[in-house]
Amino acid sequence: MKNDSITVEKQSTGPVSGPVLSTGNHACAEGALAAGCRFFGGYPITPSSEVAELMSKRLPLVDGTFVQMEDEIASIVACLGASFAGVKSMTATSGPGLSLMAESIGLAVMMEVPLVIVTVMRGGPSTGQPTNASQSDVYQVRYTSHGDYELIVLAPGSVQEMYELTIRAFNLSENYRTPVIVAADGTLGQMMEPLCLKPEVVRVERKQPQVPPQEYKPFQVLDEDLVPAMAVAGTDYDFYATGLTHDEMGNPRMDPDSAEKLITRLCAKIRRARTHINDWETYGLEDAKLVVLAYGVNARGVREAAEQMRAEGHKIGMVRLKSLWPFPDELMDQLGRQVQKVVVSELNNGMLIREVERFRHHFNVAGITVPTPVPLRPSEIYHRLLEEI
Amino acid sequence: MFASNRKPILAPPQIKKYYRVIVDSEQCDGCSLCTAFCPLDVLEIGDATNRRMLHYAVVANPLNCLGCEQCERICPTAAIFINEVEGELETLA
Amino acid sequence: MLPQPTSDGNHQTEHPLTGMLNLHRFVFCSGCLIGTVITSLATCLKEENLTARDYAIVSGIGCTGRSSGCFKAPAFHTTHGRAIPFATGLKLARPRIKVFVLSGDGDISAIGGNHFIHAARRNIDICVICVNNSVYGMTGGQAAPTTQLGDITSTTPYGNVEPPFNLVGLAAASGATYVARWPGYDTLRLQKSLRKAMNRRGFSFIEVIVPCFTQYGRRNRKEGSIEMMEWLRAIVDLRVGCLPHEAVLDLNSGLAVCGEFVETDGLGFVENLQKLRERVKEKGAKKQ
Repeated sequence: MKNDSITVEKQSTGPVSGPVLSTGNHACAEGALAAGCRFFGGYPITPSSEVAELMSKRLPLVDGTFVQMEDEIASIVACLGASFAGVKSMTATSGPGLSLMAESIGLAVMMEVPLVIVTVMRGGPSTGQPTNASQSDVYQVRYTSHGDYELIVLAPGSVQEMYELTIRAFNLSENYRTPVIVAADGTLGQMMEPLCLKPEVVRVERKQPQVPPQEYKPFQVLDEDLVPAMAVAGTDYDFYATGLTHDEMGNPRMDPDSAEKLITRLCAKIRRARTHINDWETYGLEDAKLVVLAYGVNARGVREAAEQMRAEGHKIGMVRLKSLWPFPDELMDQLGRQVQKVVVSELNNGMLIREVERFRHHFNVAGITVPTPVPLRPSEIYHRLLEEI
Repeated sequence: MFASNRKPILAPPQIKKYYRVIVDSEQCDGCSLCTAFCPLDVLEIGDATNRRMLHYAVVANPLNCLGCEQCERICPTAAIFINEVEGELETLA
Repeated sequence: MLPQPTSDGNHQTEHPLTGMLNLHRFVFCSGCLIGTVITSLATCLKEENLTARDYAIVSGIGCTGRSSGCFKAPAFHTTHGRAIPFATGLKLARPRIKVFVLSGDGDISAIGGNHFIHAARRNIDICVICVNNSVYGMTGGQAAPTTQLGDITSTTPYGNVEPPFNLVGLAAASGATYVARWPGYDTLRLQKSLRKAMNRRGFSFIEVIVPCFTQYGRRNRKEGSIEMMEWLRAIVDLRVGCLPHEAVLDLNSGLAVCGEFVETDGLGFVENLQKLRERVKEKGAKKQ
């Protein structure tokens, strides 16, 4: 969805050498810097603290601002403020911190603020297992705030993807004036792999107002993408951004029509763009009758098991989701046309599988869902898959 | 209630000035802070009502106004302000 | 409606603050001094010739929370208690603009308490104006951390038994470099204080006592706006050089110490960070 007042251009990120060995958390920070992030408000939490640590080292060197706030709520709210001052902002946390940020995510949605939140998922509930991974925040990342809203959530599966999907997250957030969550997990955050930094990166800048300040209406949509132009503080534009239901001038409105209109637009803004937002990687789909669906670090074991089974002649395929929300209904419809069974593998007690089960009319659904904090072994997955065929 | 009994001890200024008090009747909600803060009974809440059915402040004794601007400063809705006008002082009829 | 212009020509036909304020957004009770705090701030901004590109107003939730929308400037109505971190992010990302937080006592000292003390500790260069009405007005008059001992509120129907905060002492102890308290009707001193706060570096905290006659007055004193202001004027004690922890605000016993309590100069957080950037970049340059 392109529009003249959203800028999309390639920017140089500076000289790079060959691949470097990097942790997932560091790769995420590198991606943020490459995407133009110049404000980080954070609070330490295992296993994401390294994102903050690298940002604290690098941001002063590029005239950015790193500030460790007093808690997660202050962190995300400071990022909202910085974004409204025209600076790309990010915060990084884990499950417990994201729970604290719940209300503020709703504020970001209502005020339509570009913002990236990285959550490096760990064992839960509550304090859980801080140093282990998990995929049990699937619903939390989508529904943590109250109210009716849509959210974009990306799911990296490698250190390289931590870099690339963070860049993508910034671009999506600027494009659609919405918070975007990058949902990694503890294993991905801490493990080390080669990372290829890009010498040039495509950066999207938010839609600028095309009218003078007297005519500017902060939440008026003039384009099909339903995204209003964003004026920021420090320019000649005055505007009112409130968490209350509002009209296009930003006036708080308490009548039912205003609520319906605003919520419908905010949700449609994301839903309309799902084919642009949703992303997945396929393997062996050409002749598969059974497809395994996985995401994040668990997808590696699934891939190895699938490869082994294909080598043995089973008609098995695999889809690795690179975005979790909006849930890719269109992928389900596509699979429905060729596949008889979908097996969902995730490191939780069954979360994404519930979304897949909505498509039971297309295919049978089974699950390899274990609430364990470490990625399943390929042999385990292999044996479970044999049972499912 | 907030009025003072003190009177100026210096002679009035030679350049004749007078102060016009202007009330925005729609913006005024009749809270009567201005009438309470005015030291010289310039204002009162009138009988007329505005579009919101509220009684608004009216200038009852315009010539009393010394331009202290208490009303303008205290008004919580920015409904009243003073214009300083140079010219002939109108005499009381 | 404004009266028609007369023959002498040399006068304004609209309120001098029309260009600074959104007059249709004054939603406060008739006679509530929150509006006066807003017009006082707007007057000071206008005198300094500041326009929309030079400042921003951030507020939280509550009666005072509705005040940010009254300004023709970048205005933010954030969530309960979070005005101060929002203002921090805004200021750090664009240090050139003056950032004001206009929020209530409950918003700043209860749910926002942690952010308040840390912002003061950091000495972030923002001006926090706390409108203290000793109650949660907008939501129906519940008790706040500043509710006086013995007061009846909707959640303390038998009288409040919790001692209230001394916000001046709290701000000063946390490290604020300018701390003042004024009664809401004293617009001259409030404006002088605001002018000082907006032209200095570091964290400024101005507490303004604004009686809530609708919720608090109705339940405790059974008085209207003007009667409560008369009562406040009788108990206000303007002092010079009073220590912050001795700045008593005991409305029922009859003492409200007002004045300026802290005024020190020192590096604000913005300058602090800028010095850090310069130091780090110089070190990096030396290495090469």
